[in-house]
Amino acid sequence: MSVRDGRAPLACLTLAIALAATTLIGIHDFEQRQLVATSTAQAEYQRWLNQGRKSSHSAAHFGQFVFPVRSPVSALEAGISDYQGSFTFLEAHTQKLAQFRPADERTFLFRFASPDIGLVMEVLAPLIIVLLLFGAIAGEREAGTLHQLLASGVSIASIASGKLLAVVLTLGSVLLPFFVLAGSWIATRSISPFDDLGRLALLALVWVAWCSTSAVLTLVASARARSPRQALMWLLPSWFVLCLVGPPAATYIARLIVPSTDGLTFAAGIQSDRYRLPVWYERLDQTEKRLLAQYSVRDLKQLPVSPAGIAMVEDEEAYDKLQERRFSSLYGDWERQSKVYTLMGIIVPSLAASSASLTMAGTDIAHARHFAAASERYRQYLVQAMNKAMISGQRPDALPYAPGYTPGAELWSTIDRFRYQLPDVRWAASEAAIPIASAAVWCLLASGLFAYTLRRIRLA
Amino acid sequence: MRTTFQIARWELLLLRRSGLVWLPLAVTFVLSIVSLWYGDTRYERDVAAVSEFRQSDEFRLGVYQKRAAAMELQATTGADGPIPKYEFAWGPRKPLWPTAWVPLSAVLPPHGLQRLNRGQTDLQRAAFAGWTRTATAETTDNPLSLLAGSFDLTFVLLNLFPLVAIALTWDLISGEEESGMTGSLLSHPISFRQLVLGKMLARLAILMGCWAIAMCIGYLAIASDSVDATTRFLAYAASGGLYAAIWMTICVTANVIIRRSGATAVTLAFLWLLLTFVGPAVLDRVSLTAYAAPSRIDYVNRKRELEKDSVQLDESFALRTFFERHPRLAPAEKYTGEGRRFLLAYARREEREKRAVQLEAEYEVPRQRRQTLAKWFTLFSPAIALRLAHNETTGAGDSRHEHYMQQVGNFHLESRGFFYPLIFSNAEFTSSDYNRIPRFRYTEQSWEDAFREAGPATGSLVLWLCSTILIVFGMTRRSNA
Repeated sequence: MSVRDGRAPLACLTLAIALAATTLIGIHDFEQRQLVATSTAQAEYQRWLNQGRKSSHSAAHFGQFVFPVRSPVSALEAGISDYQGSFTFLEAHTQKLAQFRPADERTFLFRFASPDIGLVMEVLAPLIIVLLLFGAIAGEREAGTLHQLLASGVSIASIASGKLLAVVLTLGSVLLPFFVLAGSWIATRSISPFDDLGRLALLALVWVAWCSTSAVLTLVASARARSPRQALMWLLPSWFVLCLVGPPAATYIARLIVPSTDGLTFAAGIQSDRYRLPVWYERLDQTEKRLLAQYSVRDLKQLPVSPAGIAMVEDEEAYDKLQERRFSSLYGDWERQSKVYTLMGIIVPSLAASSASLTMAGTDIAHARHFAAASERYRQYLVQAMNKAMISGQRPDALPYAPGYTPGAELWSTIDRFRYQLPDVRWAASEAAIPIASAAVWCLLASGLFAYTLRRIRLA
Repeated sequence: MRTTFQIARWELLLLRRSGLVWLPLAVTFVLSIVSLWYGDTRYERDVAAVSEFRQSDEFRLGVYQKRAAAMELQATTGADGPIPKYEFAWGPRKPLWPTAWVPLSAVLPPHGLQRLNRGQTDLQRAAFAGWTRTATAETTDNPLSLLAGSFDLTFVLLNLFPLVAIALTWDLISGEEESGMTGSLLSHPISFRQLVLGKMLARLAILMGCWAIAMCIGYLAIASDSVDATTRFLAYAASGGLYAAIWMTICVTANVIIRRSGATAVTLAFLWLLLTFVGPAVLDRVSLTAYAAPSRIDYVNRKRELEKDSVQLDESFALRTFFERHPRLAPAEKYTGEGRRFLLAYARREEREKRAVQLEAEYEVPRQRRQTLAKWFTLFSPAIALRLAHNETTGAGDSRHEHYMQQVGNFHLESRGFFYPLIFSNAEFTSSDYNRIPRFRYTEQSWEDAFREAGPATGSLVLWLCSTILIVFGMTRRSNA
């Protein structure tokens, strides 16, 4: 019937066009990011090696850019990638959030929707299902054909299952080839195919569970409604609330439960932390006095080490601890908010689907934090290596930037290149355990409700 | 006309009986309250953050002011104190100190109407150093929240009004045609157009009721009697009303053309998805393809080259261009020793900044072109037009932020005008000088300027409404024949 009134071909065509367009966009964006993460990262390290002679503290300020590594599965679900910086600048004294968010480059149009496969599977596919199935049982009943069908010996369960199967075949004819093609592309682009294909398999399962839940609940509504009109009146607002209002409302509730620090307060906190530490010349003065006493000498020139270098190392250590506390708290707030969002997936199935898909694609807060922690460890290693070089290299009576000690490539090459390993599929699956379980439970609950509704269905 | 109104009245009674009057009104009421609660909480938090940030700046400055006073006392009395060795060379009595260690920031306060619409504000940097074009505070909103979007009143209007319009009209004509009522209705002395218009008016009344509820709650939320806020709110409300009316006429048009309930519902749902989600996302991609964003890596590397070049910049050239910009500070000969070294350093730095601005402009041009193109896209979708109109009228768009950035630029000039003579002449920075340090005071963008920016979007909404009304009239006439 859906084929005859044109709904099924239209649905297939819409779904296929949407999937094709978003896939192309996703692949294009992924390739761009991959190019930056590989070739530019290599060039960046070469630039570090060839920076020329300068004071080691200047080199620590010269710094390095590091780039997040992403799984090819992120081409299917962009998640928070566009709202996160494209790279992080690592330099002396300050820990930074990733910079140059792609969203900053975009127009206000970008805020309407993120055109990725996640949007198609989590928002468009349920709408298509609603529009294909809203009249499945209510329509038959209103037209009086439900009685005729039952009189011919077909059970209500067979009728409903048949209608469900028709939709599964309709959508499956588009989705199955799509997932096969996506899998082959991911296999060719992946560094770790087992992990990435595992991520894709779990992602596909979550989306299938969400679409099945939508289909079964639509049939339940259609079975309970007096007319197709009433079914649509129930289903469209439900879709609106679950798919469109759900995510922003859930993040809002998450922020209410776990308030996070806003940008200005965060910056003021960092500044006041800096203020709690001694000013650099105070620390230098204290270090000089301490070292003079320790080595029992009267003149700075007689010291075997540079007080400026030691003061730098100590200041960096102290400030790193304070900054780490602030950044951990910020990322901790974000993660707790994401957890609240995920837990709301127990009540709202669309949230479980979106939350699980972000994690499996590696475009969620947990992955962002994983990368931020790795890059911060590298920053501390790089900066402290430069400061420590100053301890033995710098003249004892010279200030940090004073001319004299200017190492070159022999020091820069002692710093290893930044290497980041994306967490494996087991880590991602454990992070997404709650939303995956929620999606599965919702699917089972919907099926149970469906069976119950069919037993008590009104025939007229 | 009278007949049309009579039909509208009867239709309204029928709708009331089927519960379709109170449901949309109640949903609008609840969603408006929740979204404004959200908007108000965020706004109050932003206001508190701005105030806290300013206080934190002033507090740190105050501490060094006290320290400078203590040093003044020590210098005059000659008493020994716990002042570190290098403090006289680098500390709070040097004019360089407040610029480097405790720079006052230029902070952008939120506009009161941002309670209704957060727009782009969650992505915009709201604090810049008072001395250089460096953001002193990044935006730290959870990226997940940025992705999900803000649950504000504009979000509710943008999505709920089309949904209510579709739910009220999807079987406007087909429902009666399918039940065979249209023929008997038209056997009375009424035309098809009167029938359609009457039905449409009844539903439009419900939709306008939703709009009125949302706007009343919105006005209570902003709770301001200032001319600026009221005028901006009226523009906000007007564009919301136009948007609701546009969706009603779109739905009626679809009904007149398609005449089958299921197909009308499907078409309208897809149209909504197209105009409100897919269309804007595709058009954003179009603008990005038309004016591609240059590589930020290249930008960063070119900026690094600038820094390298500026250190080696010819002294006489750097000083000549510096005095062209600051003629009152000339000539260079009056500065000696450390002051002269700072003069050269700042001359080179300003030259570097000048070139950096040119470099930034190179990267900014494609972005501005994308913004201009996006304004033209308001003609393609009423949702885009509404979003732009609301962003600009509530001060949550790009123009207010550009207005702020201009003031930040002026603030830098003012700060440099204050500090340069002190730094170059090796002057002592006294404790009383701390009170004279320029403070940033934001002057709000006028509502006339905001309206100028929102004008094209509002024009597009009017155009959409007129076009869809004409189509409804044309189609009902054709159907009549």
